[in-house]
Amino acid sequence: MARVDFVAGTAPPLRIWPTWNKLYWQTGPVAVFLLSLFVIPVVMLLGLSFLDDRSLPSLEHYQRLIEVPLYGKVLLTTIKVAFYTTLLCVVGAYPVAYLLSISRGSTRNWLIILVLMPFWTSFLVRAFAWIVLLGRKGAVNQILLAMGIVDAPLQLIYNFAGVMIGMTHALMPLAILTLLAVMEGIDPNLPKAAATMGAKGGTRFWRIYFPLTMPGVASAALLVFITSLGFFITPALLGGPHDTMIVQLIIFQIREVLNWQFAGAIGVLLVITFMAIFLVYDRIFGLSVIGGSAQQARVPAKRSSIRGWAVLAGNAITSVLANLTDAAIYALTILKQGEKNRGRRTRIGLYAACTFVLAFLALPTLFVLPVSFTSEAFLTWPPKLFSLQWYQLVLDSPVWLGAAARSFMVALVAATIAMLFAVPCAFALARDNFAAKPALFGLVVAPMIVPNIFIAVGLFFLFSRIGIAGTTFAVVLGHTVIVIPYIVITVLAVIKGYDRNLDYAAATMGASGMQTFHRVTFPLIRSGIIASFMFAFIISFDELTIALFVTGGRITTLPKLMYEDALLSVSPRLAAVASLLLVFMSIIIVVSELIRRKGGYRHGQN
Amino acid sequence: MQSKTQKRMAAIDRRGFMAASGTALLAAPFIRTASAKSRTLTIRDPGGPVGEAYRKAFFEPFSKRAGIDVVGVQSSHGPTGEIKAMVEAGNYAWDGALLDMSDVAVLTDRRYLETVSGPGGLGPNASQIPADLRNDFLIGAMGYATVLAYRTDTMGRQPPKNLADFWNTAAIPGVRSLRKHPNGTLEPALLADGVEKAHLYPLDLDRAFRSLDRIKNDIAVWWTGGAQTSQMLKTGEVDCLLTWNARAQVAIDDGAPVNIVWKDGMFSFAGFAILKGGPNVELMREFVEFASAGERQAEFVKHSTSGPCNPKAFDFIEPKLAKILPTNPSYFAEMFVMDARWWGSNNAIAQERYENWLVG
Repeated sequence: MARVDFVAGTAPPLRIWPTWNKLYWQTGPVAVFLLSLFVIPVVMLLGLSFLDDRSLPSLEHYQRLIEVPLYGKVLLTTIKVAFYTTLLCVVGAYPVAYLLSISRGSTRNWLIILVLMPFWTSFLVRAFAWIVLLGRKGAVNQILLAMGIVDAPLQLIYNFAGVMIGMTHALMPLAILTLLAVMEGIDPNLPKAAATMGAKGGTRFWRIYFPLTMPGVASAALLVFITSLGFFITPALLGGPHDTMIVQLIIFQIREVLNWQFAGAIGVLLVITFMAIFLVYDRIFGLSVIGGSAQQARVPAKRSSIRGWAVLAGNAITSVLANLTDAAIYALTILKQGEKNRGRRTRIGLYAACTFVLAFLALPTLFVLPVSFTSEAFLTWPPKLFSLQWYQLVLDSPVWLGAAARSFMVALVAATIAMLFAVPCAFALARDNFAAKPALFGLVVAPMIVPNIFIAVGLFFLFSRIGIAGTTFAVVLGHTVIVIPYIVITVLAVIKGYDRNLDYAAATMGASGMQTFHRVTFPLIRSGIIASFMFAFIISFDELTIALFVTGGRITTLPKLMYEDALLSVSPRLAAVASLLLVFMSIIIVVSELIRRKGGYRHGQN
Repeated sequence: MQSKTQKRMAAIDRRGFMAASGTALLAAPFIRTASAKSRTLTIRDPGGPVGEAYRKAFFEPFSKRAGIDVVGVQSSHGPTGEIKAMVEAGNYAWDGALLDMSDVAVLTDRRYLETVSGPGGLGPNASQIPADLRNDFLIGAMGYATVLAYRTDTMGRQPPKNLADFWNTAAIPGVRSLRKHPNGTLEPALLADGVEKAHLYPLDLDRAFRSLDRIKNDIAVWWTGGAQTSQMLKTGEVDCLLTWNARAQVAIDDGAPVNIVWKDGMFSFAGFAILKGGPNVELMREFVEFASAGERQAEFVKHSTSGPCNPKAFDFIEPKLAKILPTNPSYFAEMFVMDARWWGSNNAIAQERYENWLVG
C-alpha cells in the first residue's frame, strides 16, 4: 500500500491499530462496514478469475489477457481518456472554484446552481443533448452553415473530442466542488501579507495561493481520474470506433457471455493498473497531501527521493510561472499605462474564463429545458413547441413519481449513513498516527477504485444469501459503500487545510473539546462537510449499476427507470424529468442557503 | 511484526463476523416468507415503452384465468447476469423471464433454465409455432428483425435495395452507420459479399471481416443503443443504417421520411423462459402455453411493432398493422432466422475480434 509521511518522533512505538477509545469509534465502524459489505463480496467475485471452467486453480484468464492484444490497447485508451479528462477538468474547474470562493450571497447561490446543473440531467440525456447540439445536423453545425463559416458540417463528435466534451462536462462539477472546499479554508490574509512584503500579483498567486490549493488540486485530480476510469456509456455514445473503455469489456463479459472469471481477470488488471498509477501519484504528491497529515511542514523524515524531486521541480516551476506572470502583467501595464486598473484587468480574465466554463456546463441543460416542451417524440433542435404532454406523462405516472421519491430517500439515507461512518474516519486519518493508517486509507478509498459492476454483482450475491436483495434497504447499503471514499477524500482535503492552532487557541481560552468543535472547528470546515454530503447525495442519486443489480427489478430508482426508458427511445419525457429535477434541486439549494444564512447571522451576533 | 499482523487479522475477523450477524439481524424484516409468494408468478419483462403491453396481453389475462397474481417486474436488456446470480444463489426474485433467444442460448449452455414443456410435451398453442421459432427452452412469442433503414429525402432517388447496395458506398452515396457489436453486423457483411442465406452459419469470420474492411472507413457512426438509431434516423444524422425494425418504425411514426428494406433481414425472437429450480415451474409452463396462443400474441402486437411468432395471430391483426410487422408472410419469406446456438458458443470470440478490428 501507499506510503504515508509519518510524523517521526512524536509517538515512539506506533500502535498497529489505535487503542484509544476515541480512535476505535472513529475507525472501527467504517472498517467493519467496508470489510463485510465491500471486501468480502468483491474479493470472492474477483477470486473467480483464478479458477477455470471446472473451478480448478488456473491462470488461463490472465494468459488470455496478455495474449490477446485487445485488452492492453483498450486499457491504454481508458487511461488516456481518464488522463485528459482529469487535465481538462482541473484546469477548467480552478478559476470557477476560485470565483465561487470569493463570491458571497445570491451570486454564490446562482453559481452553485449553474455548476451543479449537469448533475440533475441524467447522463443519458446529457449525451443525447450533445449529440443533438454537435451532430452533423446539430444546432452548432446548422448555425455555422447558415452563417457561411463552414461549407460542410464539422465532425465535432464521434471522435476523441466528443469523448472529452461528454466526460469533462460530466466530471467538472466534481472537480469544482473539491477545489472549492479547499479554497474556502485558505486565509485570504496570506496573499495580502505577501503583497505587503512586496510580492507582485504573479508571485502572490503562484508562490502563495497556488501551493495552498495543492491539496484540493490533488484530490480533485484523483477523484476525477478514478471516476473517469469507470465511465463507458458516455464514451460509447459520443466517441468513435477507437474509444472503447475497459469497463465496457467487463460488462460484456458479465452480462452477455456470463464469463465472470474472465470479467474478474479484467477487473483485477484494472485495479492493479490503478494501484500502480496511485503509487506513482502518491510518490509525487504524497499521501500527506491527500491523506492530510496536518504537520506536513515539520516532517523531515521518511520522504521518498521522488517526492523530494517533485517538490523541487514544483518549486522551480511555480517560481518560473510567478516570474513570467509578473513580467506579463508588467508588460501589459507599460503598454496600457493603466496602473490603477491592473486589478480589474486580471479580474476580467477570471470572469472570461469562468463564463466560458459555466456556459459549457449549462449548455446541455439550456437545451434540455425548451426541448421538454416539444410536441415531437424525439429530442430535436429546434424543438416544435408547445406541449406539456411529457410533463403530464411524468406527473401522472405513479411509477415515475415513486422512483423519484425512492431515489431521493435512498440518496438522503445513504449519504447520511456514509457521513456518520466516513467523517470521523477522515479525522482519524488526518490527525492521528497508527501503523494501520495506510491500510485503513486504502480500505476506505478502495470502493472507488474497484469498478462498480463488481461491487454490484458481489453485493447481489451477498444480499441474496441474507435475503435482502430487491429491497430499498439493499440499495441504501450498496450506495453507502460507494460514496464513502468520496466523503473521506473531500473531508481529508478540508481538514488538511485547517490550522489546528485554532483549536489549541480555543483550548487555552478554556473551551472544552465539544465547545471547540462546535464553535471553532465545525464552522470552519462546514462548507467542506456540506460539499462532501452533496457529493454523496448526488452520486447516490445518479447511480445506476448497483441499482440495476440489487433491485432485481422489483423496485426501481430514478436513474434505473431513465436508463431503461432510454434504451429503446430517448424521448422528451427524459428531458421533462431532467427539467423537473433541475427546478426542484435549485429550490432546495436556495432554501438551504437561506436557512444557513439565518443561522449564520445568529452566530454572528453572539 | 508477524505477530502483530496476525493479531490484527484476528481482530478484523471477529469484527467481520459481528458485522455479518448484525447485518442479518437488521435485514430480518426484509426477508419475504416463501408461503407469501407461492400463488404469485413473478415474470421479468424488459419494460420500456411497450412494458404495458406485456401486462395487458399476457399477465392480466392469465391472472384472471388461473386465479393467481402475475407480477411483471422490469429489468434491462439481456438480464442473463441477474438470472445466473439468482439460480446460483437459490433466490428466485423471478419465476420466469421474457428472454431473447440469444440470452437463452447463453443460459442453457450453463443450465440455468427449465424446459418449457413438461412430460406431456408441447401444448396445442405452442405446436402451432414454426419449428425454427421455438426450442426446448423457449417458445417464440414475439420477434424483431435487423433491417436496413434509409432516409427517403436524401437517398430516395437512388435508394439502397439490399445489403450489397449498403456496402456499395461509391455507387450509392449516403452517410452510414453500423452497430458496434458483431451480432447483426457479421451476417449482413457476409450477405453483402454474396454468401447465400442458407449457407450463412457457421459464420465465416475471415470473410465477414474482409467484407467489413471494405466499408469501415465509410461508417460515420458506430451505434451502441437502439434509441440512438431512432434518433439518428429522425434527425437525419445519418442517411442509412442497419437497426431493429421497431427502432426504425418509431422514427417513421413520428413523421420521419424513412423506409425499411425487409429483404435479407435477420429475424430473432423472444419468449418466456423458466428459471431452473424455481418454486413455480409447472405454473410457468402453463403460462408459456397460454402465451403461445395466436390471439394473445396478436393482442401484444397491438401495442408494439414486433412480429408474432404464431402465424395464427395474423387472423386477429388488421392489415394496416400487419404491414409493418416482420413476421408478415410476404416479408418473412425473404428473411432468415438468427442462429442463436452459433452465437451462444461464439459470441465471446466474435466480440473480441470485432472490438480488436475496430480499435485496430
